[in-house]
Amino acid sequence: MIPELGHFALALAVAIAFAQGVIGIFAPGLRDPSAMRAAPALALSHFLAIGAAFLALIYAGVVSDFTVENVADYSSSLVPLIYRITGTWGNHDGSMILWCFILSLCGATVAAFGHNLPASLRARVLGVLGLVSGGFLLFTLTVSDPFTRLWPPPLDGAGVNPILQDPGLAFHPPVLYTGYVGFSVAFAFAIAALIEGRIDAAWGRWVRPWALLSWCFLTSGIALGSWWSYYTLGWGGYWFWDPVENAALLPWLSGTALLHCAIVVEKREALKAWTVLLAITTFSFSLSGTFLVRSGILNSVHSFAAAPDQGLFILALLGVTIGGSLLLFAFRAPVLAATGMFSPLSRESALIVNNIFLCSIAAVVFTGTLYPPVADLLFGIQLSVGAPFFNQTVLPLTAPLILAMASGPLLPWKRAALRPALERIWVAALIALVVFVVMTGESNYITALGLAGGVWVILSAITDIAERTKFLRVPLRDSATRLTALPRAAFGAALGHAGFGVMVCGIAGMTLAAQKVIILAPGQSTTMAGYTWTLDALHDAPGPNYAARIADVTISAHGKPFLSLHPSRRIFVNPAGVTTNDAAIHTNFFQDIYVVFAAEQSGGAELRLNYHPLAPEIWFGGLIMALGGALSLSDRRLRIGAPARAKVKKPESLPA
Amino acid sequence: MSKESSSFFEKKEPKKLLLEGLRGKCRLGPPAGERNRHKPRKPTSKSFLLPRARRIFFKKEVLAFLLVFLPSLAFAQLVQRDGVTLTQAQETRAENIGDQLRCLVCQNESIEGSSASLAHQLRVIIRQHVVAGDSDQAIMAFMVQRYGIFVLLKPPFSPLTFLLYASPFLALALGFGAFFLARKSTPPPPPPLTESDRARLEKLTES
Amino acid sequence: MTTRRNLLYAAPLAAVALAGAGFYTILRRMQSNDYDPHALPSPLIGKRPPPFTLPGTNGQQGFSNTDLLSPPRPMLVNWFASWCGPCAQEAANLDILAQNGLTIWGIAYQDSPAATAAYLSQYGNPYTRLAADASGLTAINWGVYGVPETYLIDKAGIVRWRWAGALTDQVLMGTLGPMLHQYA
Repeated sequence: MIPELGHFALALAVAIAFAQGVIGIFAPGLRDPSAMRAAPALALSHFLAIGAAFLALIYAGVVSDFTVENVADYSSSLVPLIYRITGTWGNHDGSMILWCFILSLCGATVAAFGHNLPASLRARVLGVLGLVSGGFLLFTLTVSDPFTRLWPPPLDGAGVNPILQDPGLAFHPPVLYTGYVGFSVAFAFAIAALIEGRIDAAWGRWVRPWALLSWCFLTSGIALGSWWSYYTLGWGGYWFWDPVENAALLPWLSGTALLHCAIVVEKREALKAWTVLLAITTFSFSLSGTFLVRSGILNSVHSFAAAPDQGLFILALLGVTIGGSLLLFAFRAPVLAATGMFSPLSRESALIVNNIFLCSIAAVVFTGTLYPPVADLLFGIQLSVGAPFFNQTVLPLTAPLILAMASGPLLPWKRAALRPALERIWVAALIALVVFVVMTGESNYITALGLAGGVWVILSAITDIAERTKFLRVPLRDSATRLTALPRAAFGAALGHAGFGVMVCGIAGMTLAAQKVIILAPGQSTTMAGYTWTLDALHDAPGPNYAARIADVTISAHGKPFLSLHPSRRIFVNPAGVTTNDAAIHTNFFQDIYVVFAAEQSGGAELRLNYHPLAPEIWFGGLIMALGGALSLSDRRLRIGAPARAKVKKPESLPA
Repeated sequence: MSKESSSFFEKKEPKKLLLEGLRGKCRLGPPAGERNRHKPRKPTSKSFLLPRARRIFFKKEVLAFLLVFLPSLAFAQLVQRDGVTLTQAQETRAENIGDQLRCLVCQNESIEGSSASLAHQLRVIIRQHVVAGDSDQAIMAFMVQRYGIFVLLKPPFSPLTFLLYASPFLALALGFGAFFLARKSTPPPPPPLTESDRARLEKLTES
Repeated sequence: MTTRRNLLYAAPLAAVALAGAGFYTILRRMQSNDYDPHALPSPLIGKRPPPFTLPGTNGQQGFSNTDLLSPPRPMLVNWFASWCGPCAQEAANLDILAQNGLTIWGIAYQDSPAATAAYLSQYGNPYTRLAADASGLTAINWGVYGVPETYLIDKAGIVRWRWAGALTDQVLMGTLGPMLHQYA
């Protein structure tokens, strides 16, 4: 019964979404205020409908209703409750429902919190969101319906993929999808602006919180995904340049560029066409990511089952959305008059240089990811483009990016003079240079470059705050007053940049990781990275749907044991025969000690021992970036939005 | 000389120094006892120690260290990986080669990181070739001869992959080119006010 | 120059349209099975099999590359294993091919003789000659990366076609049949 209701709710959501789309887009043209007010109401009901469908699917998973084909294929009664719930989005159909749900949530949020938007703009934004949602809901309903029934139902389901039976599954997809889908709001704003033919500072002020919110979620989602694969896959790697990972990185890169452009539109009324184009591009990357993962075109560990038919439907959706928006852009963008002028050395220019480098990195990642299918299409050859290529091309491009990033916040708007700018940067640059020289002596120059770059970015963020408080140029008490008066967005920006610097330091530290693969019998030990690693014993431990073999490893320094780790291998019952390796990680937040129990042979254990200096910084950096974004979001100015004329209460206006 | 000369136990000697340095700075890891002079220290020129201490080391401790550990040098230098015995330097070389080869039965992994049996076999073959003294190019050519260029995670530079390798430069050129073009062309003058806009303007300037 | 500006604004649309056309073509090819992103072309095609000698198993005669130099008719070399599921699926089709006069020589990949014998007694034995590659090293020299794999060798001893995966009816009708006609 409940799945039927869910199915009906899904169909209802399609209808409401299209209604929202049509009414939202055409009502402002008709200048009908009641029609324009209908758009938020429709957005909210659309959200309720798809919410009901989502809940129905989760319910079916929780009670293990195997008459629902999706539950029978991807869940089972032996799976713990949390994975029956979160496993809902661990497969293609369920994840499409999650996607549509979050899309409707975006529309509902605009409807609920967009009071200060002009009615016509809000209606158009909701209209665009409604059309996009309608398209994806139609795809879900027709081609990837999770509510199809199976009769007679099997005795038990096929089980959740053991790698997905992990708390990471609960958080990573929802957070990541919120990031992807959240950029649809910026996209909708861009389309609405193109339709209206007007972009001004107020538009920039409205777009920034939405872009920032999505960016925070996307940053967190990618960091979560990277951390999850680090501790779950057991190879000590955290980024594999897998096509699906690249598909998540692309909207992040253009989203960061969008964020910076929106600032310029808001403050300087320049770069309007760039901002609109970036908003369209970012959401296009999100959509393309969905397409590439679900169509089977790419060779990836993450991709869902290959289905060219579904791929064609999504391609059609993409064609309408991206093609339509770019067609609109080609015609209407010339109308967006740019009024701001700026000199080649100014904050605007630094932001543009920053954006060019970000977009270049995105272009390289895009080209590399898509080169294999295109090469096969055009030249008939099969080749691979993997991690070595990306590492060698992307990392050199991040160096100028770091340069622009470190100097940009210290340049004034419109026109900067070279000497004062240099005066502000020299302390940070000098310390970075010292770090570089010292670290080159201790390790190699690439690691040193990475560490120096990261340190420079962190120091420049601190310098930015110091500049704004006129630290050491006015009495300390004045500086403190200025510090408390600084808007939160300033701290947010500094924190965001500092977070990136921390992440770069972490990545540089990981280039010095030590690894050893060794077979030990119980009682034997080996040494690595200055520690002694001893295998004490191997024993069994049962689990809810698996049998585990645990290796007890003790790590000692100078004869004194200080750490005990228990990596395990889990042999699953359902699905049968699948084995996963559970890495044991110990972190003191500056380095990770990481042991994996890879295989058991002839009474001994094959262990992978890893020593990762500065690894936790990679994810702390991501977390700090997201926190910086959240801090910016909490800035009062962003929530109040553009000022509206105050309503003066006159005594005559009281009802007689 | 390669890094393995002064390292008997770890993968890369300079790394260890960084780690020690970090540990020293942050007070993490092994206690100061490791710095005990009587513990055999690896002879190195990249030491944090002062020159005077280094000279003392060289005279007494290194000699004792050599006497005690020289016999075990032969064993200590060798590592075992996938059933093949080779020196640490050879293992490092083999791992570098393996990182560039694709595991064909996995999705987008290198043969170093994969647990598939074919990957294991290929790792063994690579190590046997490294021990036999083959060059990196010869081993890669061996793999390409059998599996095609698909097995290389970085495609060879050829006219067909020119676009791929030129993409960073093309992207930058396009970006900066668009920037300069946009700056050079003057924006069009704003269109004249329409009737409704004129009426709005009057209303705003009145109130 | 408004024309230059307009061209600039239309450039993203042109790029996306091109990409869309490309993806559409790729997807259509995937639907008609002309393109499989997971498939690997064999470098052996157009060349002779590499030098090898493998012992026989299951009481049958083994073979070496010299035996493949000039077969009287086009023939198949089929790599299989008893532990491989898709091999069992294609066994019936191999039996049919053998009954219709096609010469098939088999190589058991990383299999024990007892397991091979059990597999053949269960699924039938279409192989005129049967060799065993217990170590898997000959397979690597051939460029075999999984089982089952089937190679078509023409009368000149040259490998003309490689199929990785089970020989389904669709593959037999659509690809192998025409190939056999071409190299008859």
